[in-house]
Amino acid sequence: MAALAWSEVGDPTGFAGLGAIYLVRAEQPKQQTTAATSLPALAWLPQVMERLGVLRHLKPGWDGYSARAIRDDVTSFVLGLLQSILKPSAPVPDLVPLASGGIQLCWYRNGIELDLFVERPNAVVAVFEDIQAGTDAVERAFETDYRELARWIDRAG
Amino acid sequence: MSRPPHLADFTNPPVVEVVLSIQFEPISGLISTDLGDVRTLYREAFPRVEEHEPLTPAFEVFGTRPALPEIRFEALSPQHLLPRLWFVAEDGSQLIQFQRDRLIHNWRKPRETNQAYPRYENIKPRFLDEIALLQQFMDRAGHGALQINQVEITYINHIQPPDLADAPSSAPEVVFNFWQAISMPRIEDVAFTIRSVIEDEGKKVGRVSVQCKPVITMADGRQVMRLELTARGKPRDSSRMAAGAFLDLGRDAIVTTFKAITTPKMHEIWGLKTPGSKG
Repeated sequence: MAALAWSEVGDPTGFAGLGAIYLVRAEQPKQQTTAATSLPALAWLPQVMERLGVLRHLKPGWDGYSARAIRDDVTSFVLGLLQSILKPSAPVPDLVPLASGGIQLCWYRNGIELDLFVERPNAVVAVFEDIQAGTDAVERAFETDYRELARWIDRAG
Repeated sequence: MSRPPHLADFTNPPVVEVVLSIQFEPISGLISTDLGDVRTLYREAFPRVEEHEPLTPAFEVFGTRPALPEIRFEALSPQHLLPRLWFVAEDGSQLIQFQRDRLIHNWRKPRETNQAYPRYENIKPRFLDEIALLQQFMDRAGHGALQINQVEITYINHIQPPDLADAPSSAPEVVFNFWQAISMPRIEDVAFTIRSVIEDEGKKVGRVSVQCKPVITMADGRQVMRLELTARGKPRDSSRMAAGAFLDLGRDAIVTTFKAITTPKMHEIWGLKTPGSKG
């Protein structure tokens, strides 16, 4: 371990909140704080991050027509949402860009078809269908409470 | 506006910075040449301008577990880059931050003077006025209505028990009442995070995040405990008034949490007023 050290973090002008000030104790050396050691093993995370990274770089007109660039607030929201509803070993969703700048997430597994349409943060429309059970598709809008969605995804896992 | 009577009130709170923030749908059609017009809105009271990297969006969502703050994108994607502007007051005690999806008002305790904390009741109306100015600009420029999707309030405190000036973090039981049940010799310093849910009429709407870590202040090199309390969440609707209501809710949660986790001894040092007192 490195000797105790102090380093300056953030803006030197003095405002701390949302753009910071202070001399704070140095972080642990990088090799001791990698995701592998400090975060739970989220099996789905590397593929999701890679795919979101690709979507974040789509330029306007990426569909050959007038599609918008994928919104940064949507990619950030989707990343937080998945952490909040996916178990560490959950199946990886397909992430599909929408011409509106949103993202569609799809799980088609185990006789379950689940599509999430995220046009903007905190506005998720989910379409769930249990093909094996032969029940009608259910469509539901979610704003902040996604526990029901987590249960649907569990059924696809 | 007046202070709710149920909230703890301290004569000399350890607060060194307060931040009020709204996040909204990115202003469509905003380009760099528009930023001069935004600067004009606040130039009189905030004449100094600086340019900084934009903040990434942040949302509170509620599934089966909270998201980990460590997992996030560190920067915006290239096609969305417009700078975050700082408009700083002449005396350096207040700041407005603007980027295409945020408006933020910071108050900080000036280093050189012993200026008292101006209190939430004075800062919040100013911030609401600043939001109204931004809305007026958007109306004039044809950008439509502000669609506020998250509201955030942060209090940053520097805590230094007077009898532990050299190593305030070494005796957390003096400051934090939950630590009094922990028997652990020779503590050198302490850092922790607590997160809890904010409910509004039985519905989960936000979270309070408490973060404590040891820091050395740039102003005078003192070692202090830095206790940051942030409340963030979704307002009832996208309007300015709903944002104001969430600020009140978040401030209430922060003050209640602050009093709940700190000890009566520190309350006495900070001058906790008893109900009905005028101190």
